Amino acid sequence: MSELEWGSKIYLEMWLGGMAGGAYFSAFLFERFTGETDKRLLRMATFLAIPLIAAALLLALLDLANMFNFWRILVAFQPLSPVWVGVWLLQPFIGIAVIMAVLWIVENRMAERASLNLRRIIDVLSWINFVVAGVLMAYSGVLLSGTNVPEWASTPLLSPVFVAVGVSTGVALLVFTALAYRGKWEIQSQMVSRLAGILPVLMVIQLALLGGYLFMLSGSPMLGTDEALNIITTGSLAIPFWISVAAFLVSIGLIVSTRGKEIKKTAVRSSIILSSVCVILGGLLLRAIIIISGQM
Amino acid sequence: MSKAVLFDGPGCIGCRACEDACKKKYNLPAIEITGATNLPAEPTTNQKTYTHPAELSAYTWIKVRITEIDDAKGFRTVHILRKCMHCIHPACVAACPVGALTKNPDGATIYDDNKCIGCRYCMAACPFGVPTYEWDKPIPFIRKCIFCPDLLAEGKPPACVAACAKRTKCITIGEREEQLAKGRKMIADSKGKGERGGDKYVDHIYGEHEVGGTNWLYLSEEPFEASGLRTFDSKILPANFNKVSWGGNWGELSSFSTESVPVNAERAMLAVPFVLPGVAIVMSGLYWVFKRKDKLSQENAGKNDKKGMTK
Repeated sequence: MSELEWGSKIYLEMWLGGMAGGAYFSAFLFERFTGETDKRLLRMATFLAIPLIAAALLLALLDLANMFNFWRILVAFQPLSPVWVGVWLLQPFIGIAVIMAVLWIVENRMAERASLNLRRIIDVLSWINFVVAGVLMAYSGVLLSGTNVPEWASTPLLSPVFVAVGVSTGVALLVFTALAYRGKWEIQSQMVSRLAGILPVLMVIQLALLGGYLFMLSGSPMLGTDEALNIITTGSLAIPFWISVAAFLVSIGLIVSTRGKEIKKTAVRSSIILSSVCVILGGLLLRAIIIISGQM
Repeated sequence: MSKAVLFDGPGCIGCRACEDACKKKYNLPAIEITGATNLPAEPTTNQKTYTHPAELSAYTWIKVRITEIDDAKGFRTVHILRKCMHCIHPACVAACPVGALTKNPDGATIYDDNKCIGCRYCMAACPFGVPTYEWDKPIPFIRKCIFCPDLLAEGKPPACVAACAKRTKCITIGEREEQLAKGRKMIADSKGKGERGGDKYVDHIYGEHEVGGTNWLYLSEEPFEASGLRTFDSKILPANFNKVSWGGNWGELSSFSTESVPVNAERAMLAVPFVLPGVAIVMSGLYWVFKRKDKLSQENAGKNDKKGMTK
């Protein structure tokens, strides 16, 4: 199995794809709930998702040993293959996101009345991409669960763990960008504060799912799962694993410490930015650990 | 009709003529111990016995694995074949995103170089860890036993079977049902006829039910785990796992021992529609909690303001 050689390109691809999907998915839901009509957050998520998905596609392509045969995926119909499904999710997602971005730019230059129709089109497209983004987040977990590698296939919780990582890293990316971005479509500080307030809860859910995944790994009679659990928690991958867990805990602490405080204060902003970075990098580390451990 | 090969483990003397025939037919180089060729050197290692090469590779598609057992019954060796089992429902075929791997009606799981994109997902999907990769080549491909489809099409036996037929005849080919019947008869006839007074064969045809059945079937005098073969009975999930409600699909995992492997991916994909609304519900719940909290704190602040005004 060590010959499989799924390395940094694969876990970076999954991390970027999951984060892009998570950012879009969360922004869409958040705007629906808050009743925001100017779609600033969704716009930000879409503009962030385009380069992230493009980079993920490029990494996936570079990992292929015979990349010039890639076009064959486009003419094949293999709905039982998670790789095929994944490619067919990434493409419509980025395609729709690009169309939405272009329409937003055009809309910005049009008269109010004329832009109404464009907004309707964007609305329909945003719903389609919401569904695609959700499936995109789950896809990397599905891809691994569909194998015969004990660490990946022995519990049904890997896909939910990866969805949780996708959502949390996506929200963290939105928070980070919203705090860093100053421009025409700047996100209101109250909105950023609310978004950041979700992070600790997402972290708790993510840690609970991760705990459940490891617990199921320990209880699984599938050959090799005990060994995998040892590698992750006490073996050669223990240090990065516990660093990622510590990063998630630190991010919770940082956000909780800013509760009720004015977001415009530098110390508060720094804490939230640091918390977002912890979530984003912790998510990368966790994905890398799970993918590497399956090949050891 | 689907062909099947029956391997009689106790009948194998480890001459490795099958390995030799396969290498000759497909022009596969020998793996040097010292690295005399341009292929990576592979020192002989003890895999419960000294054999070379130790495992399957892009240049070794069939291998006689000889395992030494030394216990209370005494010292003995067990022979088993390491190669593609040609599953009836191959996981590699289902996993391949471009259809480079296909299953022929005659039972062979074949591979098309021209279609392969090199994602290696088939390697991760195979329950037997068989497909290997030509990592030493600039444009590598997947390599594994392809059941000599050209010979099968001509009605001839695969190269390894033909080579064995000239020696011990422990590898034979026929229709799958016939081979199963033959294997069952061999097991029944061998009761009490083992070298050490026991049965000659364990009462199990490896490949009859494993992963939904395979086109290569094995008989052995020792439990198959002793030869390092993955046994699927050991993958059964805890009994209470059936009670876990997961879209109604995961509960079926308890009968995994006889299920074909592609259901793995199918189940994982079917779980997605149940996971996503779950995430949306959790996030909606979170939003509701926060909104209510904001509303209550605003109401409290309003009340406090009113109190302050009246005072």
